[in-house]
Amino acid sequence: MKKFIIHIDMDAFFASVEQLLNPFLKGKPVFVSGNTARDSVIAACSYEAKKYGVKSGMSVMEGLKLCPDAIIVRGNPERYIDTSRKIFNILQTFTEKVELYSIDEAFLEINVKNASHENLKNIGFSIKKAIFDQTHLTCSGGISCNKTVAKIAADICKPDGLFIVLENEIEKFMEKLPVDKVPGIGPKMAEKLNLMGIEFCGQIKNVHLQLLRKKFGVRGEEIWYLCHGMGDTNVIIQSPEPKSFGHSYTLRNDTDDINLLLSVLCRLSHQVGMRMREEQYCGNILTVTIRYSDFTSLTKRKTYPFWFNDDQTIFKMASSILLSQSISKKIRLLGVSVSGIHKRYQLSLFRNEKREKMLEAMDYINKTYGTDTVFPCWMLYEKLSAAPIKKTHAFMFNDLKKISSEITVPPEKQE
Amino acid sequence: MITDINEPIKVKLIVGQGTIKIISLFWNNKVIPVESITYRWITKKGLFPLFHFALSVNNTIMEVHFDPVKLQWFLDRIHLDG
Repeated sequence: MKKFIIHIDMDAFFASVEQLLNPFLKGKPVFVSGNTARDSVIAACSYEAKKYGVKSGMSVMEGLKLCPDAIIVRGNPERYIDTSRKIFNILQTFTEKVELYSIDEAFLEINVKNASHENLKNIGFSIKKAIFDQTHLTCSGGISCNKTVAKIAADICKPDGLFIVLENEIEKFMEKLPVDKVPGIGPKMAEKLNLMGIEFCGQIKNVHLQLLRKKFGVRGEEIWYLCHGMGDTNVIIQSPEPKSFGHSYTLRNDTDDINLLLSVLCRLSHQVGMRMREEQYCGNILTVTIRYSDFTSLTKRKTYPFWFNDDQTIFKMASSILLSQSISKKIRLLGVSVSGIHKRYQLSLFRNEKREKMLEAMDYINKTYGTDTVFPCWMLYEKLSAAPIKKTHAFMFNDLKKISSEITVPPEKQE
Repeated sequence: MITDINEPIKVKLIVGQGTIKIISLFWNNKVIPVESITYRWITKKGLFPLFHFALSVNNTIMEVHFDPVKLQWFLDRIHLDG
């Protein structure tokens, strides 16, 4: 039996889903973005838009300069997650060893007796057909002996292609491959390699491994192996232990409204805390990321002498970090992350059991009836400012603050 | 352009053989015939699933969902640039 890795990559996944949902978008250039504002980022674009040189990660404004007729569609992550789950289930009918690499990519491990092109081609096309029959979406497939070459093979035959590279064909396949086509080599690294006279992977043969290691450290060594077509052959079925829990959020509009920023920070802390408690972890390092409107970023990290996974603790510490920064420019993105992860049993001996029970009850309600059924009051400011103003909104945040300050706790009844 | 609606609606449908066929929507005192279901997906609200459908209706796309807890259909949004 010979082991092979198949890489399946959905073609322009988000955009294709939107084109299926709305058939009027078929054949038209489509940008899928978090929102339709011009300063938002293109999460995915259709092949019709790609023809104009539009790429994922560009701002909508940049994309519109290249392709003025593009239609901007607000993405719906839940729709893509459900479709991705369907695709994963289809892939699992072919082999149990399926690694979900990203929302639209997966690696499969297969063992075959007959390692011929014809046999592998049949397997590849049957997977593609099953996906298309059940989702009406096309994908590209790469088959080889390791993940690196399988991924490159799938990339070069996009869209709707299948490319097979057998073990004895890898050297020839990599020979004329530009270094920037290798996963893990970004444009900046490719530029550095080009300056060293390495434009194609084949040229790395002339460079000694030690030279790359000296120049780029461990990364240089990895690049040397990648350019030789060597890569990981293990399909990871179980997700590894988390190293951190984090959430970030790009604001609808850049803002310096401190109440809104604190409200967003509260939500992020709530999300991080909930996930940590669900998976029974706690941490002692808090990182707050701030990205300003001019795309400059600031990351502040603080280590604490205690373990935490409580929303309120995370929020208090994150807000003190945020407030210690002078907010001279408008903010575009906020992120909260907890690292230094350990299992929950290592929490302090001096636990606030009453609060833990309250959090447990809150998590149970949110898990049963949906996220944000119960949430910290600070999150209300963001919710009200994002929602269209309706009469049903009995009060805005300032009124809420006023009301809360006016509330007096009734004295306990004497029996 | 997508317009968010988020209003409860009534739906006429046929359920059978493991599938749903939506015939028409009743919204704003009008009966709106549905041409086809273009996409369907499931999301979760807590432990409970919500069943979403994108419907082709007279050159527009309407997104609706069924909440099995409330036993209620909702019109979520309309894609007006169809």
